[in-house]
Amino acid sequence: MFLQQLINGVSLGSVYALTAVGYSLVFSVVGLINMSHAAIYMSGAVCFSMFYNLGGRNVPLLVVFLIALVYAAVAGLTIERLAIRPIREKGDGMIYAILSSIAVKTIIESVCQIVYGTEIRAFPTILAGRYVEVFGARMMAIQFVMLAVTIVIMLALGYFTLKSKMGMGLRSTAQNLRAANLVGVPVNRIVALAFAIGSVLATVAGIFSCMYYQTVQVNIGGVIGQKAFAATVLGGIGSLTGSVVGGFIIGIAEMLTAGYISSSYRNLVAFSILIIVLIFKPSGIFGQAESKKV
Amino acid sequence: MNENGTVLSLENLETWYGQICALRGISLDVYRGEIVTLLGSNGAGKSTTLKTISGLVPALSGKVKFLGEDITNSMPHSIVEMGVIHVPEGRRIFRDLTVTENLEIGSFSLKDNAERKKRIEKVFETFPALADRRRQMGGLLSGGEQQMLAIGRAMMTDPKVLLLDEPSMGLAPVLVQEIMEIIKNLNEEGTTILLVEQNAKVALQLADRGYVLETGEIVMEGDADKLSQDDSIVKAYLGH
Repeated sequence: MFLQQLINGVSLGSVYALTAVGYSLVFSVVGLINMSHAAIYMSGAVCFSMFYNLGGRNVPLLVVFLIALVYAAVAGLTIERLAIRPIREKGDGMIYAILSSIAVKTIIESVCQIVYGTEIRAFPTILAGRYVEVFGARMMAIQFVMLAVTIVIMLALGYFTLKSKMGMGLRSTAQNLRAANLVGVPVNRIVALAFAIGSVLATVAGIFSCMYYQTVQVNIGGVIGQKAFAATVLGGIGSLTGSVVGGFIIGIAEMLTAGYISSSYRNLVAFSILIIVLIFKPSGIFGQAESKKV
Repeated sequence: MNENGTVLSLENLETWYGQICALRGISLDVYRGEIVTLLGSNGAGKSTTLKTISGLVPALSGKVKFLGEDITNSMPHSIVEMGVIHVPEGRRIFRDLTVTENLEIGSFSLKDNAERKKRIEKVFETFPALADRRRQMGGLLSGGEQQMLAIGRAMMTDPKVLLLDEPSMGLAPVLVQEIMEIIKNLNEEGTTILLVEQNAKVALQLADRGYVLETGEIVMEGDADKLSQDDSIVKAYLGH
């Protein structure tokens, strides 16, 4: 059973990891806890489902998947441009931007409720009923795909941030936005990019998670968002590696709890981890303690 | 000096931080090939002047002109692309980027990679100390090396005007001389320089002309030789 729960934990963890990276990316560049992130996770999956239904349920899934990713990127850019940048440029402090992101979250959720309805709906899946054998345990094929996609995305993101010019711009902006601006890094473009990447990753996570459960509903963002945020803090907010590690830790801890104790304690464990981290190592596993500027 | 053409000119520039007036309508000109220094005590508005030029702080009224073009309140990165480079006080290098990456980021808008490499090599030629540490993180450099890196980073953009904010700050006297020597060399190679310094003695030795700021206003201006003999300057800033 251990191996089985570990597999479930890792695949759940990949959903958390993908979502957590978005929190971290945005936080690293502008110091904002983006409360609208989970709404993107949800609305990306809803968008996928809507276009699938619109197309008479026989559109190739890859096409709807790409449409959902485009939606996510545009949504991320729009949120940054309309709800965050004006506040950031006025220099009024990030607390207002957090409030603004809560408003965005409410708007997205409400629109989805109106357009899509609040009932639970069937979600198309891939590789239904197929399994992969892993050391004698059975892994659903969709879980395997989820994990594989997550790993590929993380490697690509790592390569992008470390090797590309925009990635270097991202790192410099994360270290010091004003200094980056001063040396000619187009920080607005970098910040927008962080929102777009984060939103796309959250949508990927949302779609795979819904494929796994084969259902979708407009309230799926709430709990996942909180857990992914817990994962972000656990790993060290602002650190991409930390978010991924945190995501997997929370996913595995949750599934082991579900397997060995009771699945009603899953959330308890996830949030207990968050509280313990906040008490003993507020900067998280990979986070750097805030250094005072002199 | 006018025959050389004005590179940078400020016209009645006024800058506020909220309710506080930091610049009360200052005007100054920097001509091609000059080193102009901006003197004044803490809080006089020297750094604010540079920040307003480079677009970091919005001007309330007045104009910043670069080569005759109005660049008031343009985006900082587009001002950088034009060739006006601000080397901020406290150096602000990127501690978690390597020395080479710190230089690369200085030429962010440059598309030509071969040219970028060439400029990096030129910086390493100018600052051999940096060449030895090209793979080290910026945060591990000494204060003097960080200042060299900050100036090197500015050189990466092939600047037309360098705005240097307190390059001597926190450096040992021998390093101050070294940095000033480098500034002089850059100037001789054709870069126009606006230098903000608290160390008025050093600045006036280097500069062609100077302006003296007091609580957001220019109270005196003139050739550096004249300023360094002016009684009130000697009393206020040269400490004799």
